[in-house]
Amino acid sequence: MGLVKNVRAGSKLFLFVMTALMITPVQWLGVKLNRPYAKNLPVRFHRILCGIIGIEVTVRGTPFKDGPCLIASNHNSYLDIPVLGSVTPISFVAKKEVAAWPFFGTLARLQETVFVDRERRTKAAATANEIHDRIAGGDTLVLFPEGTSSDGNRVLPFKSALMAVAQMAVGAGEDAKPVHVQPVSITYTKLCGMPMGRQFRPYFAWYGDMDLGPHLWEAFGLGPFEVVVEFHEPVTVDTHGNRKKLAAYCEAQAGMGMKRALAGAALTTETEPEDENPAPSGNSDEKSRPTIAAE
Amino acid sequence: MPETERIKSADDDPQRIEDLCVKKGMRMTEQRRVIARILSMASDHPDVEEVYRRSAAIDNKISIATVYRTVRLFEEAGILERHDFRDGRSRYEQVTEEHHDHLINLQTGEVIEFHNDEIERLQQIVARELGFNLVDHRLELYGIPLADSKKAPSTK
Repeated sequence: MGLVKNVRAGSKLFLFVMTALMITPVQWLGVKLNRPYAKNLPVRFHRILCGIIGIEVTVRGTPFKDGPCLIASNHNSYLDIPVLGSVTPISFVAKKEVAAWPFFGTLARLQETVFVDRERRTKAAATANEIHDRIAGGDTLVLFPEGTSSDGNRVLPFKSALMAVAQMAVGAGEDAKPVHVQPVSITYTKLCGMPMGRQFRPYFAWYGDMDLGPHLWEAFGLGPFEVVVEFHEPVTVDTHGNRKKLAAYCEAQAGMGMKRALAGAALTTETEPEDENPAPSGNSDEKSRPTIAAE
Repeated sequence: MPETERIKSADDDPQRIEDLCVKKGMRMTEQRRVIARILSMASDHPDVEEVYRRSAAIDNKISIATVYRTVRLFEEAGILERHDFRDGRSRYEQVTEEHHDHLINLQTGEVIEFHNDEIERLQQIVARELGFNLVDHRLELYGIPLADSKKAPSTK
């Protein structure tokens, strides 16, 4: 078992490195010369990456495209990056330490990540400005407001500091466009076709101060994952009044999305043997899922 | 005789930024040229919305998103400098060879550029005393015009 896992991990890592080596120079050029393809190439890269690692992403809802948009998502694992990145063109907001990481720091920069100095509260306004200007320019940015990744079984309280961006409209007067905040929930539902129980989460979840290296190896060594990414109803700060309430709303939506996805995963596995026409795993489970009472 | 020199940054060359961009190998669309010219002619540290207003007056197809992207592009190319004068938005000016500092009028929002030899000297001394060679600095003063400062509440 150890050998299979290690061979699997090794081959996936090899493919990952090869893909990265081929795509990064192209992306580097695209960013340097300010070419439009540099916005979309990361999506393809993340799709390939998900394919290599063996992650099947199910998307619910749609990313908001009608104006400046900030995505607020829960955070389970560094795998959230390729998972979310494979769905739609986005850039992430990350702590500045990431920029210094070997290899991954470069990848983060190539995707035009906004780096935040979490220790310096005085810089929060400058960071909010930077996020605002990027969003105003048409990029969709992703915030992980929990501040850290959780163990994947729940959503931590969403911090609201950087959501101050939502209070800064783009433009003035009649043309002013409010910033829309779209909550997103990322839920790891199945591993090798079976619902993800608590015992498996530590393998892909990354929380506290874990080291990246060993966890990458563990995750790569595991079999195929299923992940559900749900895009919830986008709102503006006007809908909720202030950024703290906005953060609480996003947290609630992400939490609900996670419960729905986890419940859905557990239920489909139970109902499958009873179906006359058993549904293949994945999207089509949707129809057999009983509705969950609205909260 | 006052040591502080108020700087009038009159840049008479509306082509300055445009030429710099071309030199850096940037692809110059018509909209980028308009924005570059507006920025070259600006002497008042405009924020993005102000740049947008002036640019849209010339070419009304320019969107504010385009202005945000263009201004960021110029900043990354080292042509523009971004300032945060604490009024909630980023303000831009051309990068100049002559260094100057800023005094912001809290009542009107006006930004005054100045240069003071003594401050420059003091900065060097402080750096040296701490064991450093001064490489760069940024100085912003926030004030209320003297005639009115008796009426206004004290600021920290």
